[in-house]
Amino acid sequence: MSDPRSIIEELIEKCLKKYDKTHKNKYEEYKGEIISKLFKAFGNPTNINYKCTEDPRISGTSHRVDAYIDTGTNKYALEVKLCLDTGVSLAKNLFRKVVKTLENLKINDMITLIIIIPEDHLEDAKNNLIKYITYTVNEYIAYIMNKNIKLGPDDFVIQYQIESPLMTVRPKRHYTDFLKMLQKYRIKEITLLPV
Amino acid sequence: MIGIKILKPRTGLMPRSYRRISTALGLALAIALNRIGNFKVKEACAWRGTPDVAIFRCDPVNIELGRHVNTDLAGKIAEEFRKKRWDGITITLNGELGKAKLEVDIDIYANEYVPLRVGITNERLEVLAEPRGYIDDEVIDNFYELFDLEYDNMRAVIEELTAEMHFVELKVATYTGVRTYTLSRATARIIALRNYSFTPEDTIPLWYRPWARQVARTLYTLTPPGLGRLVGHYGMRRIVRDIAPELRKYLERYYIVTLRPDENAIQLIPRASSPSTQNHRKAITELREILTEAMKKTAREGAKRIIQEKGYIDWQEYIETLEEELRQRLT
Repeated sequence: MSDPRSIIEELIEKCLKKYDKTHKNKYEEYKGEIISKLFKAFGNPTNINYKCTEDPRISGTSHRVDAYIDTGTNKYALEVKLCLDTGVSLAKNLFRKVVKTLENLKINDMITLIIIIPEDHLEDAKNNLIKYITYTVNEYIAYIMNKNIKLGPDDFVIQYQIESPLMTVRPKRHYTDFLKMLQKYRIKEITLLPV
Repeated sequence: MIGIKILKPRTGLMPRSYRRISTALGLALAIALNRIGNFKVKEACAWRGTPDVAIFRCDPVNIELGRHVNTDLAGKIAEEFRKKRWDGITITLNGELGKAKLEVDIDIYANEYVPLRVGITNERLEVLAEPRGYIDDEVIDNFYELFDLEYDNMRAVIEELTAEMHFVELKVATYTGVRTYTLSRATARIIALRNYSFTPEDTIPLWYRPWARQVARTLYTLTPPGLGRLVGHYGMRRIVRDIAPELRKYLERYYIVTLRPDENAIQLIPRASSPSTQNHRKAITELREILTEAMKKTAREGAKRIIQEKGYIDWQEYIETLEEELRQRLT
C-alpha cells in the first residue's frame, strides 16, 4: 500500500492542478502545506481513496466540487480557493456542488466539506462564507421548515479544534435546525482549512 | 462569467422598471447565446436568499427563448419579483458553443446588492452568467477562457448581445415620468470575468456606457493608490474626457473598438491572436505602466515646475500637466 501523503500529492497533481490551469503556481507554492494539513485533518489515515470530480467524464456539465476523498472512516468533499485576492464567490452554489457531485458519484453517505483557503485571506473568507450560509439557512428554515427563525451573521462562529487544523462553522443558536438543513444537503459539517 | 451592470438614469428608476431591465438583459444574453450556439432552457428557478435554496424549493419560471426578448414576459417576471419577494432567478441553459459543451447559469438578481449581500461577488451586479463544461478533456468554468478557446463564437455572442440590446425597447418608469429606453441605454457595463476576479487584468471590458466614466473607473483602479488620490475620481474622469482620442487609439491597438457616439458608449472585443486574452492583459499591463510613470513624473517634476511658476500648486494645472504627460506616452 502506498504512503497516504504521496496519495494526497497525487491528488493535487492529477486532480486539482490539472483542471485549474490558471492557478498552477499557487499549487506549487502551497503544496507542502496542503499535504501536511490535509493529512492531519483526515486524522492520519492509513488509506486514502480519491475521485477527480472535475473530470468531464464524471461530472459533464453539472456542478461539482474539486475532489472527493474517502479515508475509510470518513468521506470528504474538497473545494479549493487559493486565489481570493479580489474575487469573492467562495460560496456560490456551494451546497449545490456537493449535492450534484454525490449524485453523479452515486454516493449516499454524508460528507465533510473542506474549503481550502490561503491563511492571509481567512477573515474575508470567513465573512463571505458566513454571509452566504446565513442567507441560505434563514430562507431554508422559513421556506422549507416553515419556522419563523432569523439568524444574523453574528450568530455564527468559527470553531477552532485542538487536534485538527480544520475550522468548523456552527451557529450559536438553533443548532438542530442548522444540522437538519445540512443533512438535507448531505453535509456533516462545513469546515475551513487555511494554508 | 459575464457580468452586467445597469445604468440608472439620474431621474431614478421605479423598482419594477429596474427589474424589468435586469430581466430583459438576462433574457437578451440567453438569446444571444442561443443564436450562436444551440442552447435550450433546462430549467428556470426563482429563489429567495441564495441560489442553493432552489435545490429543494424551486419556484419555476416559465421562460421561452424566442427570436427576440419578449418584453411582456420581462414585465410579468418583474411583477412576480415584487409579489413573491424573490431575490433572484437562475436560468440554466444547456447546449453547445462551437466545440464546447456547456451549461450556463444566468442569474438575474432582484437588485444590485443581492450578490454583494450574500457574498457571491464583491461588486454590484444585476446579471451574472456562469458557464460550466468542457472541450474534449479541457474543463471550462469561465467566459474569459472561452475567448481563447472559442474566439469567433464568443465574439459573435457579444455582437449579438449588443445588437439585441439596441433592438429591444422598454417602457421605463422614472421618477419624472415614463420614458422609452433601448436596453443599451440602460446598460452601464458588460464584462467577462476570470474566476470572479475584478482586477482589470482578469476583467475583459465588453461594453461601457458612458464610456469615459467607465474607463476612468478602470484607470483609477490601475493607479497606485497614493498617486491616484492626488488626482481623484473626478480628476480621472476629466482626464479621460480630455485625452479621449488618444486613449481610443491606444485601445484600438488591442481591441476591436466600436464607438457609438450617439449613446456615448463603446463596445470592445479583444483582437484575435493566440490566445486573444493575451491582448487584453498586454493592454492593461502597459496602461498600468504608462499611468504610473506619468503620474510619478507629474508629481515629481510637473508639480515642481508649477510651484516655481506660480508659487503654489492648483488642481487645474496639475491635471493639465498630467494630461500632457499621458498624451505623449499613449501615442
